[in-house]
Amino acid sequence: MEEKKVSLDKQAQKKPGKQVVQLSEQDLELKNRLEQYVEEIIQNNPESLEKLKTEVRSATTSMTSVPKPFKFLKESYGKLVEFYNGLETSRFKKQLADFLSVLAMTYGGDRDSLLYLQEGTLEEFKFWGHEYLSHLAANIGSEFQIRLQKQEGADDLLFLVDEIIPYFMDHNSEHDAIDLLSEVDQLQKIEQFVNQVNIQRVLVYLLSIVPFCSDQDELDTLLVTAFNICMKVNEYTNALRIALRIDKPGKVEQVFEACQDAIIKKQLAFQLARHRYQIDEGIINDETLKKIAANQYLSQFYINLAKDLEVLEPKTPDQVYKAHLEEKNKEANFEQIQKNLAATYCNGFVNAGFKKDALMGNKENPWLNNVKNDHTAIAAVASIGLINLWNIDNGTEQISEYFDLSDIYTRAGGCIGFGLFCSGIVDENQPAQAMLLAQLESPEVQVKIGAVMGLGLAYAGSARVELQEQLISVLIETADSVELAAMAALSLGLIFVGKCNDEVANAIVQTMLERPESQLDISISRYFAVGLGLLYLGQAEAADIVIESLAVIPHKISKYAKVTLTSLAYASTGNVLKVQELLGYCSEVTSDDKGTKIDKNYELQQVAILGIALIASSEDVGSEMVYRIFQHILQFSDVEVKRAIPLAVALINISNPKIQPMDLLLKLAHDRDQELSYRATLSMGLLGAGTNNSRIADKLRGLAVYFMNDSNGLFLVRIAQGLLHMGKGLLTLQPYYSDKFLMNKVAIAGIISFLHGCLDIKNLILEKNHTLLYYLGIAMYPRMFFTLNDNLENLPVQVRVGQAVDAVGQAGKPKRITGFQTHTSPVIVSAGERAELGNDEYMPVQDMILENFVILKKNPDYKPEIEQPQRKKTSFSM
Amino acid sequence: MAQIEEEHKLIQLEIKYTTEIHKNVPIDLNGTVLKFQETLQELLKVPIQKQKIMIKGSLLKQDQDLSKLNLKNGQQIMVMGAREEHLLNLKQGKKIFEEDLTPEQKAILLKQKAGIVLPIGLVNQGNTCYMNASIQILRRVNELNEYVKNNAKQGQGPSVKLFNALSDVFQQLERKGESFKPFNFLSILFQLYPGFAQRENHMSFKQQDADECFQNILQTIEPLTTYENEEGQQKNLVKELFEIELKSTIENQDLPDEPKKVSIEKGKKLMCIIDNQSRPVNTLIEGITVSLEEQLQKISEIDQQTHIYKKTQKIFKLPSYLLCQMVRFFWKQGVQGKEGVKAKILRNVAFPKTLDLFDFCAPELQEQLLAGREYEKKKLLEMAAKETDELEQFKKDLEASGKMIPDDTREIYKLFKAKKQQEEIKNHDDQLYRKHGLGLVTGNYQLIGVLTHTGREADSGHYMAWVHHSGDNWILYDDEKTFEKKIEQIMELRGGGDWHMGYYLLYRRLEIE
Repeated sequence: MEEKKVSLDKQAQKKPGKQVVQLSEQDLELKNRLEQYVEEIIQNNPESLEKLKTEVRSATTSMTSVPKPFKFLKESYGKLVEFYNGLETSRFKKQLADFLSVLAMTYGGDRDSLLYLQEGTLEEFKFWGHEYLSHLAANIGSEFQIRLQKQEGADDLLFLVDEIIPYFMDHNSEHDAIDLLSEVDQLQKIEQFVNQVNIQRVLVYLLSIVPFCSDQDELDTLLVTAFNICMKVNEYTNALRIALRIDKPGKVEQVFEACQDAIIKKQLAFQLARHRYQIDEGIINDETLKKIAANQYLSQFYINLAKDLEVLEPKTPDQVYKAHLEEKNKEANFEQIQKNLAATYCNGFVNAGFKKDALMGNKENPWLNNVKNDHTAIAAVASIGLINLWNIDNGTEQISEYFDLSDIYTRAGGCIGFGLFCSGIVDENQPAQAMLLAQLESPEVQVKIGAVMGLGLAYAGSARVELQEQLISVLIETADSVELAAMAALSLGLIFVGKCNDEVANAIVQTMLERPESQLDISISRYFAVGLGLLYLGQAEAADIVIESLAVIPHKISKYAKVTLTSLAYASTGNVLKVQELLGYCSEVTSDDKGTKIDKNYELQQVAILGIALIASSEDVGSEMVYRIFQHILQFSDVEVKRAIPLAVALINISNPKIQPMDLLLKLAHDRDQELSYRATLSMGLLGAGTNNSRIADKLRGLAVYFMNDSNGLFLVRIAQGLLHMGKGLLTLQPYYSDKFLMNKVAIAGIISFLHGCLDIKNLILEKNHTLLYYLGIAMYPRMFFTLNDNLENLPVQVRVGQAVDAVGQAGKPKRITGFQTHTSPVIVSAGERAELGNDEYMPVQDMILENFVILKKNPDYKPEIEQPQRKKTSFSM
Repeated sequence: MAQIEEEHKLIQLEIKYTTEIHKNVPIDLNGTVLKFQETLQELLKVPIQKQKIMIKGSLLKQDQDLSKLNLKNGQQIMVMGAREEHLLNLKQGKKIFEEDLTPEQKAILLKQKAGIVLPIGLVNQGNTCYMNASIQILRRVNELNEYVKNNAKQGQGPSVKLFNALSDVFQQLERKGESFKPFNFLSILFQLYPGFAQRENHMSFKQQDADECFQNILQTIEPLTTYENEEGQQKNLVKELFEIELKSTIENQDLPDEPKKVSIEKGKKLMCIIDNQSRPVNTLIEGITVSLEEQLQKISEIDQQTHIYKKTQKIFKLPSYLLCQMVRFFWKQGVQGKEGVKAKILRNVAFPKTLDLFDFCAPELQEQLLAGREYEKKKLLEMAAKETDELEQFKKDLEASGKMIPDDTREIYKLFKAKKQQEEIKNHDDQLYRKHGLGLVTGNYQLIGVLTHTGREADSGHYMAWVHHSGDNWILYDDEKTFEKKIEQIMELRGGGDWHMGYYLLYRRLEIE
């Protein structure tokens, strides 16, 4: 009651300052009529109330102006409220309350509409139209929050909600319905209103609010609801997409069991393959499905794409460097080992997955002669793995001979290479396990390291229990070689990425606890922490217990592990609290009161910065915000802290060459601090990885001249050039796909493993551990869009590719891409772009995001346009 | 089913080898692994030792029992291994890598293969930059460099030792490939001239005057550079290269009747006086002029009275290499009981890239030079005419080649010059390295070395050597560090601030053929 009075006072205040607006005759008449009605109502005349209601309800209006009756009733509102407050409870009073509720939309205070409504008849409120109901929904939302705080029941509100939702759903206002339901924590109720017609709009809106969930529970409800509605209307492809995001056992299998359509199942299997989800063999028994889910088609289609785009011919490092465009003044006169090493990597990256290359494939003049019998030979042999990525058959053929050489380095390289080309491909004979476990029994530490790395690469994300015991024993029992133990920890982390495997976690914590400090001081020992962190990738709170258990480790690596674990556990969640926690590490004071410098753990701050980037990387707004934070750090922090910025910038923009970060990195690459400039150089490669971006290419050539007398710098420029032209521009390192909705954990793990190596670029990448570069191999994926028929053959159709436009919640059928070009599929899609089918002749077998592999079917409603030009049919055999 | 298979023991497998798939390969489960491998060798042509048979995540070992592997009919197994023809050809030797070579090997290889001598610095051994810079400048005198390098002397005297040490330093500068400490040379220099071995507060050595060091070295090795030329005459190389003969005339200003006294003085450098009381000196030429004319007081032989005499010096013989010393250091008397200091004049004194000494020469010499200068003029005209012809030819070639022709004649000239650049650098370098005595002398000298000093006092600061290398390219030797420089940067060493400023200039005589 009190509140009403307040609102009354408000009206009273507004009254002075009378408007001197000339009214037309018609309006004047309307105004007088309305005022008359009001007078009559105050005289207790229910009929006038009905008349007034009819008057108001029948008023039409444009989108922009307030209906006239509302305008003219402004002065009467106060009178009516006054009258209403004086009335005895009666049906008339209730009816008047109904009307006041409507008027309160314009003249009332906060939540007045709701209060009047609840005092009214509750019979006719749905007839007042959409605008009123939206207003009411907002009132309900805020009232619900207040009740929640006071811990009062809200059944009356829920009753109203149940009444309003069907109206919204029937009137193309699904987003209002979802907003209201999520306000009152009743999201699951949307399920009953979803049907074939509105599923698209509901789903798009539901998924687009995913990044804005405040806590895990809310997110879970949202995803489960979305999953359920997809399952309800048999939208399996979307259901699977959500199931992969939910990442709880059983969901994916549920989709497969529900789906009966053989073709849709194939489509689902492609989705699993992209996510590297290893489904139980019992669920899919069809041979073709198995092959698809085992990723065995990937290599084939990728090479077809290269054929189609005429880039199948091997490219030499020199073609990539385009050294003739560099302003050079001195010819190097010698075979330089570092130059050849750079060429090895560049060749591997550029020809990744094409089965043929320019260096290793040359049998007459083996490239091995151009590298030394040391770690460079490891890199050379392992590059075969990159070149034959995803192709076990070819890989085994090319690499087998290196296992027969007695040299330990070629064998170690063979192990890494073997792991690379088996990565993500499931073969029932498990060749990688067979081969590499045998090599693990070799007495040479170097070969063991290779075997351990190879296993990690090959089985990343597979959670293969057969390897757990073996690798744990390597981890625990290796006393003298920290490198071997650390790589074992990393491989375990990769294999069980995001699986929260307690046994493995305990083993890693144990080994960190038991090892002497001198071992943990070695740079490579950081991979104990990384391996541990990877186990909890994206699992948020699940890592808390392990984080606490780290406190018992006396060495400073425990802090490193803590920050790594926190950042990996909350990777891509956008969790603001965790970002703040990590920022706390970065803002430690540099000097005490007397101005003397405190010995700071700069490494910790660098990991924290990397962590911030990782947490925010999944979503655009968050990325923009941390980019700003980085600018602050660049301006105000010590150079040691700044050194992490290039890597962090590369991480949030990986394979996405935007101008702003590009310019920043270029500036940092010329920094006086050598370490910073090295990292920025390498980061430029990551920024443009697989894009062939000509601007970056040009800048890198400039850097090659800049680093002319610095062989280390030049080495990194060459690597960056290799990354830029990765897969001749057909690959991406972007771990997020499906509109950034899904995260490929293996890809993230690969990138993070490499970036931690870059935190000590001088002692790791520029020394013996350059093979860490190969961890990028498991993050690679073709950025292609293939259209297939139901026999899994290429089906060339017109495809439009253009800049993606956010069209969520907009009315009608808004354009979802802009500035597009039309190509015949298969096509390549860059970061920030989206593909659409060019016409309606074909449609996806089920609604889904058009990327990777999509099986098409004929559109039953398609009517061809007569003047349509004939398409050139290019088709290649499987 | 399983029982039936056990009875049969003969099952058919699918063998996968690289991209090949062999179906229905019979295998006897009772047989040995070796037998199975022999079957595979026959089928796949892969030697048994190289076969790697992979079944369900493990490698098949020799001693395994096939019947216990639980193989099923039609099961696929994978075989890996290289065929004979695929074997890698690694017989060719590994290449030699730059990283494996010592700097010394690298330098030798570079000299042999490409004729490149890397610029190598000398490590400072405690304020010994004056010596390092002197050696680097001295080394640019290519005739001396060659002689010292190739004519190590026998004997025990300290000067022989110094000569041999210098020879060693010169050789190592070409061979070492990285900067080094000329330790031996320094210790012999200290023996010979203990003044240089003074220490500052018993810490490092004191800074010394580079001029003193330079002249001392020349003086020490001079007697050791006598040689017989092709005509059998005894010659002295240092004298030939550096000795400058001045014809000095002393006349009495007060008694014009007193006969002029004419004598020949020999020296190894020209001075450029900067501290010229009231008249400011702005250029090298002015400074030399001042130094060649002085007034002195002397007792006359005629009346036994002190008179003012004027001493005028004219150059009588031009050296191959002209050394000019900027007299920047002087002793500043202490005022009000303060100790005096060796002060330095920071004044800006410009020096030319090409120095014309004609005006300083004695008339006899000038006559000789005139012939050369006439010839040079003629030659220049010829060159200009030739260039015009060449330019015409170039234009024609350009048109014939069908390329885009710039409208602007200046553009064409630029292209033409760019094309001729290589040739011009070669000619230019030839003039600055070739043997003297073959062409006509004109009195022109070209700058090829600058020894600079930076700092406010003579006893401190830092010496560096800037030495001509090729074309417009110079090399700066800053102790162990070397940098590439351009001629424009050399001309900025004229002083006038706290930047490095020229203290010692090395000019080389130009001859015209």
